[in-house]
Amino acid sequence: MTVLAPAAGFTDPVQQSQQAFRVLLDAMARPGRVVSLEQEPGHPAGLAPALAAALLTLCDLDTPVWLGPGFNTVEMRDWLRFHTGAPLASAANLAAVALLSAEQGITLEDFSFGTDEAPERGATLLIQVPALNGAPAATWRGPGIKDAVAMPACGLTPAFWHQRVLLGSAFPRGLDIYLACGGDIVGLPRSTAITIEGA
Amino acid sequence: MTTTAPSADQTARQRRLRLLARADRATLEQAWNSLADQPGYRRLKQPETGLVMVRARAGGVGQRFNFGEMTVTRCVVALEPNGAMGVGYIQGRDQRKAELVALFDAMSQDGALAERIERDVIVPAEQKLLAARQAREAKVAATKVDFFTLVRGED
Repeated sequence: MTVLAPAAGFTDPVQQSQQAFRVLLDAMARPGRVVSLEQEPGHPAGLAPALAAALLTLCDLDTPVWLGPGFNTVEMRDWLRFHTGAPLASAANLAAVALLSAEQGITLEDFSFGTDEAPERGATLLIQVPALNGAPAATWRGPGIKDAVAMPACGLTPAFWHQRVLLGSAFPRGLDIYLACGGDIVGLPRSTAITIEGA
Repeated sequence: MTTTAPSADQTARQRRLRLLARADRATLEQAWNSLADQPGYRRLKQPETGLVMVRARAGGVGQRFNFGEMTVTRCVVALEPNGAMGVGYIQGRDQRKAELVALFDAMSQDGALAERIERDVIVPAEQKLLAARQAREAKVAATKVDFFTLVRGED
């Protein structure tokens, strides 16, 4: 009987998760600014290092995680359970944290927006995108942004951005989103209002 | 909650981990140093010390209560050659010992090495524990007092 080891995580979990947490806070406080997570934890193949660091930092025993299509593999589940102990959510709307890929269709309605009494129950989505740069496709406005910032579509479909625009009316309920590519990450909190170019 | 009986593999591993955890560090260190072919390894979890709540039932029956906290050190390693993962949980704060326990656990998952470890580390540790236990029992038995009551004259 051989128990195979999962991929490595942080080499120094205490220091590195605190550093990563600070970066994740900065990203949420300054929507649209690309920040990089310098800690490169070990991670399963196919997962962006920035998202690996975010998962290791944000997940623990109290955060049910939803692994979207493409990420729900044995390798991924073993790695997450070993390093964080986080339970897997049995349904998308029970998840506190969801790991998703831009290549798969994303329906924001599937996830919990929280309630008016407890908006903090809204899920945090970690979305792996093919790029964080490109031609401007939308304007982001809101707290943490001076005037406005023009952002690319980041490989996400127009349908996704349309759903995100509509989500603005649910505030203070909503979803906090991180978009990540490689070691870089961008925060898109629920308070950011989005206008699609040409719409 | 349903519990399933542990498999033979699991029982063997439980016994191994129990004996390794109770062996003393010098014995483990010596056994590790005497290995001609020490495998390369990486630490999946650095040795870390924490507290574990020990729960008990008075007399083994009745309500469970918190007996007390115990210092535990754990470590998880992965061997470089085959990716086998070993865990070490020990009582106390000896981080190196936790690492050694994890290493022997990982190595024991390879059939050929397992026999050698069983012979050179586990069996001696078991005998040592048994001897210590018997010595203690003998010492306690020597102080045994037989109580008996004289027949009293009832009035």
